[in-house]
Amino acid sequence: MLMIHSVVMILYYLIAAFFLLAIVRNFIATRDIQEAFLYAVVMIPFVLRLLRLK
Amino acid sequence: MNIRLAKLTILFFAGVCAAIAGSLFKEHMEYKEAVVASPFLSEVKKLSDYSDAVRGTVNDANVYIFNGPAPGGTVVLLGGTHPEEPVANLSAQIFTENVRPVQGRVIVINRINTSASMATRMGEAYPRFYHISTPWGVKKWRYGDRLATPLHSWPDPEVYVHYPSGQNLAYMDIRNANRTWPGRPDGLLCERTCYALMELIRKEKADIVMDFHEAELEYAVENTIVVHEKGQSVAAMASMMLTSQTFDVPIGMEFSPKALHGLSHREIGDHSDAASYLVEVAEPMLDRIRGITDEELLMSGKDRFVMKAGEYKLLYSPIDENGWPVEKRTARHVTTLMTILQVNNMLSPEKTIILEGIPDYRQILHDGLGAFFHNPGEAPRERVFFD
Repeated sequence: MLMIHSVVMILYYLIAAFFLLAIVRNFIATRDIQEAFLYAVVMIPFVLRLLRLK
Repeated sequence: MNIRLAKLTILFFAGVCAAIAGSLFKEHMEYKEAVVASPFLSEVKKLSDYSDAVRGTVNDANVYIFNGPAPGGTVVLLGGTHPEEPVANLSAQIFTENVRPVQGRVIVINRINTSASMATRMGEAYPRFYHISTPWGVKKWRYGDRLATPLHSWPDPEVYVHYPSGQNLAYMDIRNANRTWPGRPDGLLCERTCYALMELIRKEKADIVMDFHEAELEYAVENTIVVHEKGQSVAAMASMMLTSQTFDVPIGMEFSPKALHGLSHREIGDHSDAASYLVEVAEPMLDRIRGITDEELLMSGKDRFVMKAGEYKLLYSPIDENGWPVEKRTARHVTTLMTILQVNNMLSPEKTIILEGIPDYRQILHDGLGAFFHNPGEAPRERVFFD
């Protein structure tokens, strides 16, 4: 059971990293300042999670 | 404005926000609480000395052991089961820092679920720390959550199937150290923690286990002793003595439900020789209808919204403009445990436990809590530990 949970935990972090990359990509691509601000704010919890701070 | 410059500015702003938030979270997670053990400390073990199930985990707590000069019974005190209930670990630490066992043994763990004390409840804007003034300065503790943080125990199951009963419980209670008793060595963090604690209770041949808690006034199990059937005579007598002689607000006594699994008062009694007790006291900070959620509310227990609910008879505990200050809540827990020991000594003299050095109810109310926590800066190094 512990091993399954460890695997899911790792997958969870990979998913978080995937979404962070997707948000960064959209941030780079957008020409709309309001959208860029939104993407930047959305990045924060993903960064904190990947750094294991929250 | 140039779009690239605007994006860089936005990114800088978001980075500063992330850095500030991250540093605050990190400070909270890494803060070490100093404990000055009583001079009568016999030894300090780690929970992993009793079971490898918690070795290398954040919940491998310090176990403070105080052996009296005369043989007698053994009492185990569990603090910090739910770190959003600060009086639980404060009550335990009052014993760790002041106890002088005359007969029998006392074993204290100030924080059994350290993981839950390393993050506050998400979306509730809880304070990260709380402080108590002492004669030598201000002492600080981590405030926390009810559950172990997902950083240490993840993912939660869709439905938490309690071991060994097979009862279905709420998914997040797999991270609740009072829903995972008696635990299992290959489970998730809280199951392993409770398994190691059960091993401690069994190997140390504990006679009494006390689990300190607090509860919202909207909750029916309030200002009471919840007890396994093995301790019902003692709890009933203690409840009557405290209500008639000491407390302004009565303390009740309730039987541990046989059909509700995972709780300390049920499973410890069922899976060891010990009689298990759990005490609750009113903490307005936990009420859903509270006002501003800050350290002032946590420590004073004063809230006009909770009081208003009381006026409409929506609460299970009285509350007035004096609130439920932390001194009163702690004093109730400390005095309840001492009264339980006193009654137990009468009913089971062969398991007598006599503890001295512990302040009584009126002394805590009069002197405040700070008088009973010692200065780690001036204490001998061999008596200073960190939880």
